[in-house]
Amino acid sequence: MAGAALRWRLPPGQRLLFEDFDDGILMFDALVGSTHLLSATSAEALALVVDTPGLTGLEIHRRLLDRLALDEAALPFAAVDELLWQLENLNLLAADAA
Amino acid sequence: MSARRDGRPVRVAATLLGALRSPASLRTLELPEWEVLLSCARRNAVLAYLGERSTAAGEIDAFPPQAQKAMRAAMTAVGRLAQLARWELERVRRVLAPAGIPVIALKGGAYLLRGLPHARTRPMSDVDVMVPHAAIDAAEEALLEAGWQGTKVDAYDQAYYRRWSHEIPPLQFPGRLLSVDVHHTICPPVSRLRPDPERFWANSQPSAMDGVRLLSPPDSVLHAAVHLFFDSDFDGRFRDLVDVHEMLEAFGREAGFWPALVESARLQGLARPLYYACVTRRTVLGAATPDDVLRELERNRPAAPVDAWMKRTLATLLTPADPADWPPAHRGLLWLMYARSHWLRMPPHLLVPHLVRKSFRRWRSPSG
Amino acid sequence: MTATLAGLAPGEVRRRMAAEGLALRMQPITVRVRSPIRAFAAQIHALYRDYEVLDPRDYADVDVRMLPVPGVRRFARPQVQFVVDGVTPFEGFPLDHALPMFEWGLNWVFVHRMHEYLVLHSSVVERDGRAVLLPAWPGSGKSTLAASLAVRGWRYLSDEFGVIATDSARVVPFVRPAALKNASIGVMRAFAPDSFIGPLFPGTRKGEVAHFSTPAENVRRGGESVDVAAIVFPDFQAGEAATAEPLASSATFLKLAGNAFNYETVGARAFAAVTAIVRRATSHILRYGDLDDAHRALDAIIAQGKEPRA
Repeated sequence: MAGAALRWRLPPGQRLLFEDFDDGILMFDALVGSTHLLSATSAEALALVVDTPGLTGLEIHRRLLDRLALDEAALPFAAVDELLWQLENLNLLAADAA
Repeated sequence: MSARRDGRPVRVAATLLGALRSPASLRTLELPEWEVLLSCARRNAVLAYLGERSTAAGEIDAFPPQAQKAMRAAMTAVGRLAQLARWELERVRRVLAPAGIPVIALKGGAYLLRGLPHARTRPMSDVDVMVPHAAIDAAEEALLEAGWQGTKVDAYDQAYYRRWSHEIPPLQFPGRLLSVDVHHTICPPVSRLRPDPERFWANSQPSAMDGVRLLSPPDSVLHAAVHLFFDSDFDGRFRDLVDVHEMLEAFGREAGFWPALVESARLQGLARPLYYACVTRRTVLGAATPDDVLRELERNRPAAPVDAWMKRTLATLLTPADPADWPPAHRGLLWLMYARSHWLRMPPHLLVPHLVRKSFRRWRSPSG
Repeated sequence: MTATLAGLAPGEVRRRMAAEGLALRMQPITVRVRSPIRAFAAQIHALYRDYEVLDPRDYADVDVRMLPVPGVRRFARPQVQFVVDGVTPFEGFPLDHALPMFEWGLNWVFVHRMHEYLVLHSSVVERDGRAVLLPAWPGSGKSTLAASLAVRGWRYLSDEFGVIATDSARVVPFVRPAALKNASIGVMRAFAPDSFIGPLFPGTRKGEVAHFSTPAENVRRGGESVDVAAIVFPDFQAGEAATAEPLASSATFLKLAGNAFNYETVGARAFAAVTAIVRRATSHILRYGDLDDAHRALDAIIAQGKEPRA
């Protein structure tokens, strides 16, 4: 899958603010000015990219399975790939071939 | 209500113009005079701009708290519009780039992508882009397909847009604030001014946003100069003059800019609008154009009586409006009839129904 | 002791409004209003009687002119325009609806200018140093509930706006007459027959409207900000006993932010302020069918205080 080889980062100038509440994680995207309620998976995926820019989709998938204590069946790569592209569509993530 | 100093009324437009030239001149203002000034700036959509100029000049922190709050609030509100404009451009890019349709960002969007200091201070209600004439239908289709909707204009406006204008009717994405205006050139097709869009494309430059281009600096200035004459927005003209001024300030420092500007104007037959833009910029804003440039442009001016009338009328029209005037003077209408019949070859009796419809509808929309 | 509008003779109020303007302190702003319309001047005089009168030559945050539309159509109903900064942002109202137009227009201007604050869409009341936000949503009955609390010893901070100082996340009063609509007018008259309710305006865009003027104490205390202790989403259901159901934090956050007037404009500061409020305050949906019942439920809510909340 083409998405596997791309590397994921925050878009240039992007700044994300996270607030953890008892029932969910809220995030402010300072670049676009939008607020998002994140699922656990999205929050973890974003946190991974913030902590370690330049991971590939495959690497993000592996680390998510680990962090969320899930197996491949519960969270297939295709689902993670789709999530990353959804986040990309919101300008929360950027993908490049570098 | 007008400001008074020593019992004499002070023209607030003069105070505002002085403040934009030199924010330090506001240090002597009394609070009641501040109120009048802020109201005038707001009326002419330059309160955020005044705030930015005052911040850049290091003056704002010494202003009275009320003035600081008013300016900062305007900068906040208009800054948000700038953020929305970038987002709208980004969404347009995501649709048109994969469709192979090249895009040039115009006006506010272009100033933002260029990083011009005044870009974040301009209230915007829409985002303007240009696509090649041959691609205009494909662009409209692609955007409609991706979720934008034609705004509810009646049959009269639809016909007007497609026949006389250089753009398709505005497109609005549901739930978002700013609409998108897609142009295929910068002047109406039936106008006496017939710049060649091919040259604009040939001179265009990439921007910080992949897939979105910009007019070259000279062409950006020419576009803004032409816009002073065609825009029928009663409230936005002073701000449009500020756009021309800011670009000339920013680009004028670059080597080779002025000769390139004069050459582009000559080649595109836009020397006259540029001449009037420069002259008015000096009269109203006190900003000078290099002498040799002005002499070159003067070669294109009309006969002396017409020239004098144009200069006087432009200076009146482009001076900031006084918010104390009620009802506001309809000085724009006569000018528009003249300018448009002059530039457009549209007889005045055809202009009136259209202009009255436009001004009637626009008068009812909220101010920025 | 500050001079209030009650101290001016009706003739003087009319004269000022027709000439240099009537200036009032409506904390946190100052407003100057001018109008030649006599009935409107009298209504302002009554509704704002407890408000401090200022020198009209002093700086005003907002300057409004309520002007009859220049007579164009002789037999059409006469109209009034709301003019601010030399423009009229709205279509005209009937001339005898100048007061509701002024109230709504002033709200509009406030919301468009006061971005130093995060402005939530909410009534606000306070007791014992603890503020309760009553966010607006259809069917909430928040205006009636807030007005009823105001006549039963609660401090009344606002009918429409939860004005939040973004550095402290405290709520700032914006005491104004409350616009009661349709059925709530009758409810409020029955609940508190002595309370001041202004003239009835039938046939406005929002139906029948009358303005409730809160006890003078609220205007006097208009400069006192306070922490938010409770967020209560009122849900009026005729015949129901009052029940308070806790609402989770992120749901509360989204409801407050989603319903605010300028959340997106204020941006990161707004995100931080809503976060602080949600962490600091309890949050409930309050279903009620009876005002006194609702009051008891609110007493219990603010008495319970705040458990540490993630």
